[in-house]
Amino acid sequence: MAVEKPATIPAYIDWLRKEQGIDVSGSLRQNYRSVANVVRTELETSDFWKALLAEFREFDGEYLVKTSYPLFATEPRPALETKPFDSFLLKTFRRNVINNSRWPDAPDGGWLVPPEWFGRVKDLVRTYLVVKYMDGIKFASEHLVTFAEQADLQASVNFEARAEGYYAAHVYVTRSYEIPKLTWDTVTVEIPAEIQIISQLQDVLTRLTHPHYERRRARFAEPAEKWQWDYDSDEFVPNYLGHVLHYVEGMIMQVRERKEGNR
Amino acid sequence: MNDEQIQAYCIGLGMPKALIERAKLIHALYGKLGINDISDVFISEYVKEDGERSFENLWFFADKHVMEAKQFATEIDLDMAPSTVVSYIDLKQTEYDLEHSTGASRLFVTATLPLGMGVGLTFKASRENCDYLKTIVIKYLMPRLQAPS
Repeated sequence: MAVEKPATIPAYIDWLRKEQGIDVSGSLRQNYRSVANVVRTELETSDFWKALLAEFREFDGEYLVKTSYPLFATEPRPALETKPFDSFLLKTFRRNVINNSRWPDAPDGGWLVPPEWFGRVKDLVRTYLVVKYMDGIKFASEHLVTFAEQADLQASVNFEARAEGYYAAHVYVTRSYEIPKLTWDTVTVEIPAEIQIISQLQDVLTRLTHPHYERRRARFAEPAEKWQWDYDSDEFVPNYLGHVLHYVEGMIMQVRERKEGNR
Repeated sequence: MNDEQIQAYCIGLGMPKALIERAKLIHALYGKLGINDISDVFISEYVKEDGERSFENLWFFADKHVMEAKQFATEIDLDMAPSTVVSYIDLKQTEYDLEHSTGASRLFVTATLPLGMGVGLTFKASRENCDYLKTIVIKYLMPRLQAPS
């Protein structure tokens, strides 16, 4: 008999229990919280992280010498945050079910289930850095990746450019963590932490539009009318504002570079 | 239960001083919330590959309440629930006969309080802490085990 595709979070939780033998109980939530706490605390107290916080001054200095402009608007003190369990579960729902074109088979890379899911959801622990200009995003992300690799950590960067007007670089720094299993054992898993790098203007917009983003994220099906054609929708203005700001930031870069006589 | 008793239990687990102070602070916070009949403490923990204990959650028990401070080493997140009825208890153990703990003993207990969606309590213990957890189960969970009304 074909497995019915869950359409809601309660149905997904039921599917996890019946098909994957995973009980989304208080124990699983507590285990998630313990794991997230281990990752955050170990990264925060690692030599790498302490050195990175000190290195931001060097990034800033190098950018200043290169461009005559500061890299950061204020001294960066990125605080590591853990993803709430419900957001994490929603992400696994999207990957296992909503965006799984191979349903009822496992998505590419296999089912996203514990304990491997900790290593495959890339923002279990995350933070963000705000730079002043568009080119600072590339500069900071490349320097961050190099700095992590010099510390013998795996690092990569994705330059995000979404239809919803979101522009940022996401740097992933992966290291091994010994995490608690549900009962008493531990397991060592490679887990990435996400460092988002965004411009000051995009940061302002992200803060303004966060409620829209949350509502969109909780939606399981696309609306009948695309937001691009629904000028009265909650998303039309903020999403296009994201594109407009990105365009404006590109123009600022052109003006700045012409002023510098670099073009 | 007083600070000396909490300290004695924590020292027995080999807990660092800073965490012991943290446990006493949280005990005092529950007191400030008016819960002054706390009679037992339990710390949920597990053993890492290097043999060191990792301390997760701090539990306090009173006549009619159970209290949990989640990730108490780094956060102040205080839970409280009435514990007059427990609807389900599950014990998983390894190298533990419920009498004599050894260095390899591990005990994992979950219990359900019949509050709405069902509130789950999760306890982990290793080595001699298994004996403390067994005592908690016998003293606070078993006597309250009954079908929800």
